Amino acid sequence: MKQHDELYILMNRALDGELTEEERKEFEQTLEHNPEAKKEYEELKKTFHLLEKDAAALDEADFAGRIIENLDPSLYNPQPKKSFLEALGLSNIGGFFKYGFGFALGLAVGFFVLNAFQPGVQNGIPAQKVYGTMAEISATEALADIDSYEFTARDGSISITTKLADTVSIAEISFATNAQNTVTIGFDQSAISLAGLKSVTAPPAGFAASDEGEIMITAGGRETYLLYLKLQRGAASPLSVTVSVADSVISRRTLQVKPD
Amino acid sequence: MIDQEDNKLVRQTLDGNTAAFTTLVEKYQTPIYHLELKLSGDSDDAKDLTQDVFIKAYEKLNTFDFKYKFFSWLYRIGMNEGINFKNRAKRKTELDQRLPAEEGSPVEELERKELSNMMQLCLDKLKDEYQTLIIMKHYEGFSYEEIGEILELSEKTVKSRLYMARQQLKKIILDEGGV
Repeated sequence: MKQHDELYILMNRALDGELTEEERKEFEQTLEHNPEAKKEYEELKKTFHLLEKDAAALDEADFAGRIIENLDPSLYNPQPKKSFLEALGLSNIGGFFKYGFGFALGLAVGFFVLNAFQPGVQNGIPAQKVYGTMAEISATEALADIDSYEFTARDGSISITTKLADTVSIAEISFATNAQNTVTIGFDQSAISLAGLKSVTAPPAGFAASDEGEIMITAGGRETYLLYLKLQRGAASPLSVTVSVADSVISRRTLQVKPD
Repeated sequence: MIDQEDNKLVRQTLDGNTAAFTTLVEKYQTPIYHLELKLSGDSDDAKDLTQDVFIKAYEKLNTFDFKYKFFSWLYRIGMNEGINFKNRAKRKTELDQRLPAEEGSPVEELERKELSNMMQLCLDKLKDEYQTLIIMKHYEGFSYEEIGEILELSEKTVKSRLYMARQQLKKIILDEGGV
């Protein structure tokens, strides 16, 4: 059996063009003395030939225009930058000077205000990485611990701890995958209107948000994420959140919602 | 290896430059289309799936990790979309995989179509993992290294699984009378 396996590997390497001249000669001699192996090799060679012929008949794709037409160009549109004075609501610079403030002082104040109160940046999450209603999903103060889960699955492990507030909940998800993979967080849209996901273990981390029932990220190894769930008003318990790796669901757990 | 040019285009897209994403679509539409074509067995479905893959990639682009290769990330999205579709869709009894309008006699045209249908039937009998390996190696022409990058597997593992896939495909083709 082992001998056959080794011979089969050689057949594959021969058809992949990986054999050295010496290996090829030795392989051909082996086939000469082994009609069964020779037959198998010929069949494999024919399989390669059929694949090659079929692949050669494939046409090139030429419909990029149709794809581009269906993209939402506003998704990553940069916000127009406001000048310091506009940001401060002082677009009438003449009036500003009339009251006796120096230009240097204005700049200093503007710089301080912009750094201290950057619009849209809350809880350290940069607004430019977010689409959707950032203000809603970042309102996570005064949360209360309500439940936690820990379990393992064949392809990795996940632990979920939830903290629920009035309309926003935050869950910590840790998981380990054997390799870099696509991880999808699915949620029930009838109960959760918006969800956001931020990595806490792999900076620099972007912030992904979706109101379409799933968030998809690329992750690998052991990672921890904060999952923000904006609950629909009056959402009934239980909530269902599914975490899946590639196309196979590795776990499914229900988060119980308790009133504050 | 990370493709710096692709990463630059991704960054430009995230900065609001949709034309940068157009370049990525033009660059990778064919491998994604071939993948979807061989997974779905139908050119119209494959076009829709290819479109879905790029739209999904565009919408999730802000989750892309620049440590990794954009094409590998995109191809994995394509694999997930195609396999999910395949497992969802009821296989059509009449396969209608369109072939390029090349010069050739109607007989040659017919032979190509026959071969294509037969190969599609055989590929569909492989399990998903083996089917995608055969597509990547024999239809896309990826190297073992490239396949390893996409699947996050060592070259050795890729080879051993592909050898198994070829063995099974050979047997299926024999059973279908193709060899």
